[in-house]
Amino acid sequence: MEFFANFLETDSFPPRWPCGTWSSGHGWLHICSDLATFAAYMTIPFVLLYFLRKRPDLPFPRIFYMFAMFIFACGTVHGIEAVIFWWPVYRVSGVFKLLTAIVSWGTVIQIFKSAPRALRMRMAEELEAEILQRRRVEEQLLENQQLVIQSERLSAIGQAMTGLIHESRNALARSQAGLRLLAREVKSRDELLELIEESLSAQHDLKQLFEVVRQYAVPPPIQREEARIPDLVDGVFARVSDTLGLHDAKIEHKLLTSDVNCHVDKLLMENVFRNLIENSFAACADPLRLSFTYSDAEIGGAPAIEINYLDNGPGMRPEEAKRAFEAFYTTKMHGTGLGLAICQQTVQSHGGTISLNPEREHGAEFAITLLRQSQ
Amino acid sequence: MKTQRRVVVADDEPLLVRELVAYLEDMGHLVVGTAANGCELVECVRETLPDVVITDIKMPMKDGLEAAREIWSSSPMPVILVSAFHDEDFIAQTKSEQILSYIVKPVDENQLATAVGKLDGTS
Repeated sequence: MEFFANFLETDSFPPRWPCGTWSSGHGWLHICSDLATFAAYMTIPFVLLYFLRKRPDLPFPRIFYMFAMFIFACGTVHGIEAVIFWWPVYRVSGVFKLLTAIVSWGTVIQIFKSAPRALRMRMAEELEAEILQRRRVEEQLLENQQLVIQSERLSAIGQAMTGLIHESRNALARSQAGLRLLAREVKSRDELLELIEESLSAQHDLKQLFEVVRQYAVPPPIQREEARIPDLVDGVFARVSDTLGLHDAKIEHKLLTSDVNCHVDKLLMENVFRNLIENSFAACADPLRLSFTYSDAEIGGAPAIEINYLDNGPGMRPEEAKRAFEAFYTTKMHGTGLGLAICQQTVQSHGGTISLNPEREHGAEFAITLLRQSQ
Repeated sequence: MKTQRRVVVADDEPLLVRELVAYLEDMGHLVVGTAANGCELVECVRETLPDVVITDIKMPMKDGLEAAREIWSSSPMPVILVSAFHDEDFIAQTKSEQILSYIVKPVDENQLATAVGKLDGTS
């Protein structure tokens, strides 16, 4: 009680300046340092409290409060240490040191209590990576949902188309049978035979169109097997050359990878290459030069092969190139407009991509990327 | 030399029947009966006992394949199937020693000759 009764009493102690042999520099070094620390320690609690007010979601608010009190207590001790050089309030100093000790230990206890939870907390980078990963999964999910919807739509369209084509082909067969029977009756009338032939030819074109539309509407299932892509291309090139054989045509393969094998449906991929090569034959003047370049690629981190196809024809205008894969879009007089659409469908069903370089001024340039294995 | 065959033709489209009959007669074969559905076909075959049957698959009342199976239950008659579509799965399912050939409409005269010629072991 006597201690607190004489709490601010200073007669029992000398101020620090006259106590000992302080040089001016040494004394002010202590005073200035203590005052600077005092000022900083008085500021820090306010900053911490400001943070807590602005970000009430911050974890471990108690630790923030304890630190604010602890720093504040330390600051007062430093302030009193500076004052003691003139005003020896050692009792006040002692009490504040005791308070500082209590608050310090309170803070230590609070830190220990919060440590397990703090150790379990993930870093911002980890959380960001997880958010990114989740976003990717969500995007993939959305993409898959869209693919399912598209696939269901295509399936419905395909069924309707198959029925329509089936019935149309029956009607076509009747019509062709009638015309052929008619041709037998008018054997001596050349002008009539010519008309019948024209009609039969038009019906043949219609039948071909039905076949292509059916192929687009109801794509066949993929049956993958290992194939050496340049061999597939060579086989197609030989067959197209035989069929359209008037061209001075040459093909070149550039292998930028040692592995040119890929698991594909041979028939379907041959159809893709046939389409591209036939388009080149139709568009290019002699001499026709075709180039296939093979290199390693990746699709979503999975190993893939990139096939770059280039001809020496006039190529496509940018506005044509943009629409090249649209169904029923054609630049030919007698095209169905489904060739490249079916190519795209086939490549996509292999988990790959096909694109046309719209910037190329001379020649048509296609890039096909195919997964080496199915996933 | 090709042997004259006795043929039964079935299709629900009279024009297609007429066309097939015309082709077959041109080839020197004898069309002993025609049918417009599967039931008529089975009846016609029982009555005429042909060498070969040419039938459309999709027909009313009883389809061509069903009729063919009924015919095979009493005699192993060779059958040429005709359809509007070339369907690999269907061909695989209907594999039978009695199916001589599978022709996709519109029927080509040469295809028909090849199919019937299989009876002689020639084409």
